[in-house]
Amino acid sequence: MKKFLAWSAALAIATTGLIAGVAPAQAAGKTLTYGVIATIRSYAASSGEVANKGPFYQAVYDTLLYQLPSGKYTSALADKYTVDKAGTTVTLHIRKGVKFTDGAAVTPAAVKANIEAFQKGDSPRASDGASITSVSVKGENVILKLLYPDPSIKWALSAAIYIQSPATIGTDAAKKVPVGSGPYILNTSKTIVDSVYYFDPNPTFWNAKARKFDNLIIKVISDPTAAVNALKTGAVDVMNIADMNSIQSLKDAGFTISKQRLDWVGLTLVDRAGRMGSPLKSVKVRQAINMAFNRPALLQALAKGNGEVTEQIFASFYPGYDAKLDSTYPYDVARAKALLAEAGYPNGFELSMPTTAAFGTIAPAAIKQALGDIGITVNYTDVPIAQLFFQMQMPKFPAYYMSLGRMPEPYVLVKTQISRDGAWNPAGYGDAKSDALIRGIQQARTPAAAAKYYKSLNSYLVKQAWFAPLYQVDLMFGSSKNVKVTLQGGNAVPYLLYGISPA
Amino acid sequence: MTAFIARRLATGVLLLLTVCTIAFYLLYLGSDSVAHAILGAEATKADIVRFNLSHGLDKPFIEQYWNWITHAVRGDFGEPWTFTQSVTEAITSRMGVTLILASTALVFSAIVSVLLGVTAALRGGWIDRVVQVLGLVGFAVPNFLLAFLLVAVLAVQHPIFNAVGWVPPSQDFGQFMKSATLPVFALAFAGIASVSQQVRGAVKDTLQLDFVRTLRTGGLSHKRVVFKHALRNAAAPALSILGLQFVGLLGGAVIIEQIFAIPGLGQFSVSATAAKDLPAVMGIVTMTALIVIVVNLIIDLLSATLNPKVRLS
Repeated sequence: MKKFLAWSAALAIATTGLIAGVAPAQAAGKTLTYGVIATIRSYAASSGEVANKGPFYQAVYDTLLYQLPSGKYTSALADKYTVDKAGTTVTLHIRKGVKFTDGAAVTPAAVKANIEAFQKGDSPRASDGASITSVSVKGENVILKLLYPDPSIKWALSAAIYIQSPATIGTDAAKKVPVGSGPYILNTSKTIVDSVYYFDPNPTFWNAKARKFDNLIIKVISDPTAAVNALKTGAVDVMNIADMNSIQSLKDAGFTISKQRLDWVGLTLVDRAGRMGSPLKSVKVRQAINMAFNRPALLQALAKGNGEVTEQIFASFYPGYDAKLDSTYPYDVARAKALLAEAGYPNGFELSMPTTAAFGTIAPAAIKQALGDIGITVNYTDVPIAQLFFQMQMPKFPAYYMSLGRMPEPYVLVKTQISRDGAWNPAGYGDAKSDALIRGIQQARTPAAAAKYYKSLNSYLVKQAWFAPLYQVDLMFGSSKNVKVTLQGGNAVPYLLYGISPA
Repeated sequence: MTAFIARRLATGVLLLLTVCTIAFYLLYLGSDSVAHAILGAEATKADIVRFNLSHGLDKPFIEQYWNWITHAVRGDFGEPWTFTQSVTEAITSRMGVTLILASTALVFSAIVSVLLGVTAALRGGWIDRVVQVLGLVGFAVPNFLLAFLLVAVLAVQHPIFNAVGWVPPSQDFGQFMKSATLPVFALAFAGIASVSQQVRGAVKDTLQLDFVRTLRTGGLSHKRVVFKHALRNAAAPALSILGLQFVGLLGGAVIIEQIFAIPGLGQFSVSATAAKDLPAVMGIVTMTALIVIVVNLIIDLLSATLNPKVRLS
């Protein structure tokens, strides 16, 4: 027995030594290993996604425009972009000589087919193409007719509207094997679906100068601790970091942490028109709600200080953001009570809001307490997460607490959270002033002109207290010494071509 | 023996049908707003209607269930709503990974448990005490905590093994060992703790029996008495425990696969459940139930082979 145990120990030590010495086979040239937190539903371009899932599509497909980290747009498959005076006709001149990896040419007809497929597809960003009423081809151009002058159309053309080979549109094969004209080709023999995706360089990629890495590997790591370990051990070069407790240890170990504030957290005061019978019709009530929150304390309690207090839903990288607006509503319980009294609610009132398991217990309790201090009694209804959006959009509740994201394009915020038909404005509220400001943004022909309207709109929303934002939360992105990352305002992860380069 | 097998098979089929029906009903109950959850809050009403129509969610429960079961018996679990592969493809590719993990952990657990259990039973003394303490630790320390410790020490601080990822053994055996060692150990540890206790107790009891004294007085060597006769008698309860262990390993693999980002059935289960992907979840439930039933059947057959008294009972 002793001999057996001794031999076993020796074998274990030898095996460990051998295992430790085994190095993985390296691809030739520079390789980027990109860690992502979630896999994709389908590789069909019409199912295209952005943000955390963007790298999958950016690897193999092109878009019609590119958005640079600075926020400016540049040409891609469309080498010219023009808009008529009314802002409702967009002309895209399609670059000549570009081919898909199956040998088919990228033509205006192919682009038309893709845009139409996108509008009918199941992409979560399908609404980005909702303003396009028709797509036609004229010579080397694709003509888009818009329902209204949509300032976010440039972003839509650079983000989720990916272009795949038209022969593969609608096929089952396209869901698994993408055929695009992008910088890489999926290596299906090495790829382990939903786990590790290997990409080889596309030898016919028209923009090879922009491709900084010869090979790409995308690893799906959904667990926050595993993500940190993957970055620390070099299993990935870049990764979103959700585990805030690991940030300091990563910095100490020499990793770069880039951050941006994508989400704003707070209350959307839905029933501004009072059609649901709540007192939120009164601007004084809404302003009182804004004054009920000690924002710095809530930022510390709910997000461990990782973020910045705010009173506006505009992101700091948006035109129209005004830091001065963040001191519109100081924390003042007495003043808030006085405002409620002036509005006719000296004894406060009851307010129903949804809550769900995903919110945890601390945030709902903190909000309930803060509003309770000024006399508003919050009655929560526990809603299963699967039904939360459905009930909110009915709308069943006059207000809700949520963490809402912002896209790189500010008009997407206007479209989804402010305009009358925005998904996050379920009561369809708008007034003459907000309508006019939104029209001004739509009709502005220069960024400077649009910025003026954005600023006015933002100021109006804050003064009218459409929302009660509490803070913007930090989103952390970790990268190793091997790479240089430039985050794109409004995007959860850096864009593949222009956002990451070798160090 | 044929009647025994037939009875077990019939029970297994009935159990599988019951599990699938209950699971489908429970999932169906929550499916009315799944389109919102999958397409996101900014999906329009038209998007929701299109999703429900294309996925058959507008049909009544009986029709949906009948469609599902008539395809499932042919091994076709349909297309998932949130993954690229078909449910059958996704499950078979991932099941292979989980079975490699669980089987390796089981074999490792069995070998080490027998060695430790027999050594403790024969030698007693400090070895016996160490094995007993190991048993306590194995019960007390959850496998995910052990996994975190192993990763922190043997992958991050001292990069001997991989912290995340999976390399199939056919692709690169060295890298497979680097990626599988820590998860296998984390999975197997609790099993070693409990099975070694079982083996220790069973061997000790068996060695007290008259037939062992008879064998010894008949001139058989100590090794032959222990490993050919006593262990065989002690094996039946240990085998039952191992069978249960295998089922537990499948469940334990869910957390371990998340920690090590291993593309197995466990990780797929978590993703499918979080995404409310009804076809994927039903496929997983069915396959898991089938595996449990088959494993228990094999254990029963092995026990019956080793010990005829089991067949009669």
